[in-house]
Amino acid sequence: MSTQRRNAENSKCFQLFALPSDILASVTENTQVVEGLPGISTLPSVAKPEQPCIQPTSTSGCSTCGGLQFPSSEEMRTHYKSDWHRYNIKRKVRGQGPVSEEQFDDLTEVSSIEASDEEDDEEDRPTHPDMIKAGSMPDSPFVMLPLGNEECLLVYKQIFSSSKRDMKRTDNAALIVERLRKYQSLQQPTHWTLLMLAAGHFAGTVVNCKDGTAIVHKTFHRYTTRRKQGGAQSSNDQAKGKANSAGAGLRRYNEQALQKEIRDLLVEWKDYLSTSDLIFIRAPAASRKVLFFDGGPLDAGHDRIRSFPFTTRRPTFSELMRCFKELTTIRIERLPEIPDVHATSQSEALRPKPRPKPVSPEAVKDNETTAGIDPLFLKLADFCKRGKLELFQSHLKANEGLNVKTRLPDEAGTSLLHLAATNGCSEMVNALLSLGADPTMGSEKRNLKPYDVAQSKDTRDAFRRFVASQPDMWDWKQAHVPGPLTPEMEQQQKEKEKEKKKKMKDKQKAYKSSKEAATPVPEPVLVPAPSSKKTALSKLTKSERESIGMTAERRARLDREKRALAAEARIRVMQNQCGACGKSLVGITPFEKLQFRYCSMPCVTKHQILTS
Amino acid sequence: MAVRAQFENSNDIGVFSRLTNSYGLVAIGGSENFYSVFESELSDVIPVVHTSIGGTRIIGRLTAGNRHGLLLPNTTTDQELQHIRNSLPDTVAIQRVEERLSALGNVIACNDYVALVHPDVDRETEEIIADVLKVEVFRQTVAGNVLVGSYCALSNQGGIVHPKTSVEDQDELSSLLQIPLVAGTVNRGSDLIGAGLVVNDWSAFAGLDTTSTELSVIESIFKLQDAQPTYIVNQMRDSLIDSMA
Repeated sequence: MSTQRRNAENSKCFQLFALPSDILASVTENTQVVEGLPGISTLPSVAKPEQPCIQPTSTSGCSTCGGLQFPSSEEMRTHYKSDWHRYNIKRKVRGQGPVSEEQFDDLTEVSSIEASDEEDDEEDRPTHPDMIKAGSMPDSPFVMLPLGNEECLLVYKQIFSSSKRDMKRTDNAALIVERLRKYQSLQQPTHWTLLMLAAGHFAGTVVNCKDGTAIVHKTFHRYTTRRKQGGAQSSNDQAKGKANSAGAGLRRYNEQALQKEIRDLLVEWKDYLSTSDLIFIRAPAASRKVLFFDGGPLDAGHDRIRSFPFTTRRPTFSELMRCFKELTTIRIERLPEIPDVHATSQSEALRPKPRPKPVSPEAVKDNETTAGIDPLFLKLADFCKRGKLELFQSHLKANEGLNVKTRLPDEAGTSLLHLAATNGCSEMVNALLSLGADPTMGSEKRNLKPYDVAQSKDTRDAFRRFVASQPDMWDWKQAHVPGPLTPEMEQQQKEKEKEKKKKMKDKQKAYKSSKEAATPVPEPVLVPAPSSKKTALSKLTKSERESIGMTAERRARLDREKRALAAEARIRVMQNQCGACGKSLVGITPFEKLQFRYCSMPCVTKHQILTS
Repeated sequence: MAVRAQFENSNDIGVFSRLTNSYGLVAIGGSENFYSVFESELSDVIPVVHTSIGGTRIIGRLTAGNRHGLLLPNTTTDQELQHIRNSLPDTVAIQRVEERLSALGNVIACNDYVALVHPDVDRETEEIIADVLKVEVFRQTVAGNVLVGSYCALSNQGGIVHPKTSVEDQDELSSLLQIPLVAGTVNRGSDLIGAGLVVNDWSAFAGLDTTSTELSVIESIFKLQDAQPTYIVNQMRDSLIDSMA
């Protein structure tokens, strides 16, 4: 508010749709459009709730905000609930002094107060007041229309064109003036649409341009941003995989719900959107797809779509109305010095220098370490690292002065052998050892021997093989190498491994076959199976299968029993009796099977089970 | 009336009890002595409930409440919530709060109209406080301390704040709360007012160590000398009967 007051002293403000005709006329005389300058500090402040003017006679003041006095308790209470006061309270707790209201206005990042809600949507802001004031931003959001008397009209560029490049062309001046004139004589009702979406908050309105009132408006809020960490749930899901917490699920659902609500609303407002003169949209890049979707009333490529050329706060209806007011305000400022060649060169100087190429930490390290070391040796180390044995040997041969015992000049005191071992080049290890490299040379900090840092079994074996061939060359115990590995030992190991594998295979086989036997086979003889081994067992009858594990005597006894049963049945048949239960078959039609006869079906099955 | 009490040899009775104009909570202790003190003073008028919060006895530091409602931390178990719900009058709203600063008694100081809260309390919690307790919420510090609930005791009649609160701060707080304030101590010089003292509009309980001077300050600032719930009725009876006759 105070900034606005300041503006009012320096400049006159008009409404875009009610520009006095004399001003418009004076503009038209100067058809040349001067681009906005970086140094203009007339950026809007965010409107604050009305603060009382200072009256020293009031009773109690706010000590937190530097002894501010209030005329009434109502205003005092409003102040105690304001963001400014809350910010100062937090500063006080941290032991910092209070900031004035103007300073607080300048702190455009509301994130310190509403950390959880606001921090994720700041990235794609088109302009930042501080940056503009500092002159680091080459473009001003305004277009300047010079009036006759060293004054100029400042209008937001975004009103006339969506792309900045268009505005650079001076022949657009006539177009701008024509547009301005058109706005002054609005015949048919014109309206603008303003939509904001950030951190789970959505606010949208369609404003009647003539009287600045909202025709329709709607706000939504859903819990979608991660508390404390910030950022939308969906972006976190994409970055780190789906979190499985209840809160994450809640936010995911809310994001979906918010998207649906917004899209439903946009469809509902279809008529307004299609007839809107301009549509101002603020949405982080990640959630633009919420507004622009297939079959939706908005088209991202459309010329009417504009972004807000200044910082906006949390999407609320009042914020929308403030932004509309801000967009449609035209200021008259004193004309700054006309930019000549000199000025442009200055502004170029203000522009940030092209950033130095990012240097990877590795490169930096290399630069540091290579100072004062033989580049030939570094090349050798490189071959060693990459396991290029032939190149290594030829390089060594070509340069007589190189010593394989030399350490690399880094902090760890790495030797070539270390390098070869860590990179798992077993052949290189062997070559280095035979060239006389010292395996007992430890690294400087932790005294790690090359054998200790070896990555693979193959590399370790290379050391041990060398020990077998040269057992007395070094003190191998000191080199932490456990013992020699002779070809015989390797042979033995291989055999052992083979045996082990064989055993394992046999075991698996046995397990499989026992599993087969355990599962009952329903109809063993019905389908003649092609493979012999598996089905051989199932071809056996039940009694045969049962008798597998029996002793000879028991098997004999079982056979005898069966034979007796069969004889009994035969006798019964001759006496015209049922083969199973011995019931007389006179007067009933018997069931016949083989040479036997039975009174009923259960008897047939019973006898079959007994004899099989 | 201001009464001295002790909870199992501890003078910090504000840690183990919560008192408002429509209910009282006391911790479950080894003996019933502490409970008896509250019951003898209050049970005719308001329910006094035995409870634990999240299995602990420090219920006074974990809860915040007034005549309209009671706020419980997220550590409160469902059983405890059910028990409290069953024991308190239906007009008292009970709400469990998901707040990082879970010792609600330490971060919220309130009477039936205004609440002072810790500056770092969540915005959503602030809204819950305003809705459930039906109060106006102000983020404030008391003598530079963010734990406003620990360093002051408030009722609708008055309040005691940390002894080192400057006169300007007292003025400021008193104009926010619209009640008279005094800087004082309890329990023979302890500055932890909230821990040593629980008050409502007609009674106060202080730790057993509280001196008679401290007690007289308490009685005068909270207007307890003749503040019994039946006081007004008794005072006005004669005139009422006269006018109705």
